Amino acid sequence: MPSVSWVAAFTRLTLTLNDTERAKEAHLMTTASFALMAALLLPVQAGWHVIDPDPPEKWVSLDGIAYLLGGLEATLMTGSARVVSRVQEEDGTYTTVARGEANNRGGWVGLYGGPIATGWKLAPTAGLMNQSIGIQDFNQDVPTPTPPDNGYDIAGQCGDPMTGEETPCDAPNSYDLNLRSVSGGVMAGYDLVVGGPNLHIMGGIRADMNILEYRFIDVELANETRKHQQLSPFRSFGAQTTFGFILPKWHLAFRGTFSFRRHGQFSFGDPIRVNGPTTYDDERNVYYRPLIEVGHAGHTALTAQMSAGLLFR
Amino acid sequence: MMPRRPQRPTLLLVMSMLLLSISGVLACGRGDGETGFDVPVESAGEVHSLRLENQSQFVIQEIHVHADPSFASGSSLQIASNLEPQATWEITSFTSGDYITFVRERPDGRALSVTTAEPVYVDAPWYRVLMLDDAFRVLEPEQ
Repeated sequence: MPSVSWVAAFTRLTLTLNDTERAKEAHLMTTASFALMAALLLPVQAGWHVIDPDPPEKWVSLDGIAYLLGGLEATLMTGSARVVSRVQEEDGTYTTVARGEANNRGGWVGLYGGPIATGWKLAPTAGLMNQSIGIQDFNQDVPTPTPPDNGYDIAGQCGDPMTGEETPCDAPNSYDLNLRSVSGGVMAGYDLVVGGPNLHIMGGIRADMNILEYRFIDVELANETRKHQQLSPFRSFGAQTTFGFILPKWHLAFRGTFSFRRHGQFSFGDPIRVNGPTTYDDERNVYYRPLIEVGHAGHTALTAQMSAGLLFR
Repeated sequence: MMPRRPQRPTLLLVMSMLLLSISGVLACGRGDGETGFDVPVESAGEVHSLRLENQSQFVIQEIHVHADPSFASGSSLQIASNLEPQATWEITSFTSGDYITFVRERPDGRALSVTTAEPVYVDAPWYRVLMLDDAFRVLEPEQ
């Protein structure tokens, strides 16, 4: 019957297709397995090993200095940064009165900070940091007090006197901060470098601290910019994990890094004023937000970085 | 037997007593933000002297008096120099029912105007108008 032969033909076709799919899957798996084995065996076949060069014979020599400094490196970074200003209450606790968050995009030029050799590493660091961020205080409800018996209260409508545009009376105060620093310090961590004569694969985890930092802080108000500079010893530290590769014959290194960095107490020079927590003035029978002067802020950044470095050794 | 008709005078008496008691409660009650002070709205148009007090935390740069809610249209500039916190300023002829605006600096340096959301009514000389950070308080003249 025609209908039966049609079903039989369809079944044969389906089986054939299924076989083809299975064959393709099997082929793919075989190829992947071979690729993985090759990837694992190739480095061994090519003579890859743990890179652990001997330290310089004389530390006070060109070779020793080159070993210590490592090289020069340029870094592009992106991530998020946060600035927080706190004030100490009478009971000793700290209250956050202003905060700012921003995309952290910037650059860094400094000594090469990536792995070169396997093992523990202790080395100097130096570099520049540049960060622009807006900081503002918070909205807070200000209750309406019970009016006095000998008068009445009238709410205020706030606006921009130049444009006449209405604005909320409790709009947060905001400032633009430009934080820059030149720093030198020390870093310590563990690095793993494997490879052959032409290519090194590297990874590492390390912590660092800026021993000395010279900071430049610009605070932008509506009609003026305040500039302040300060010398800050032991005020910033960081931790990072890094992965990349080195082309030893070319003295070039490329790596990606995830970094956490904390800069404590960026001083504003002249304090900035923000609205404090709502307070009741018993004498005047009014609720208001007393102005608080804030002298500094802490800066925390979490970034992903891409670096290219020129190695000295 | 005649159907019993409701006693209308009694019913009316009860309802009027109920209404009276409700209105009495409403008249005596005073919620948050309400005042027992009678705003002298009927004084609109009268001209009196007025004392302005800067009770805000900020230096006041300008004070305007104007008939329209917006101070941008036809306002009368009262001061052109700064009025420090706790300082006072006297206006010899203020028309009851006008609006008052002051301009101060925000902490971050931007200027801010604060205008009375309603007209200011005064029915006697030397009412005190306290200019708070972003509100006003109108007080009867001191005896």
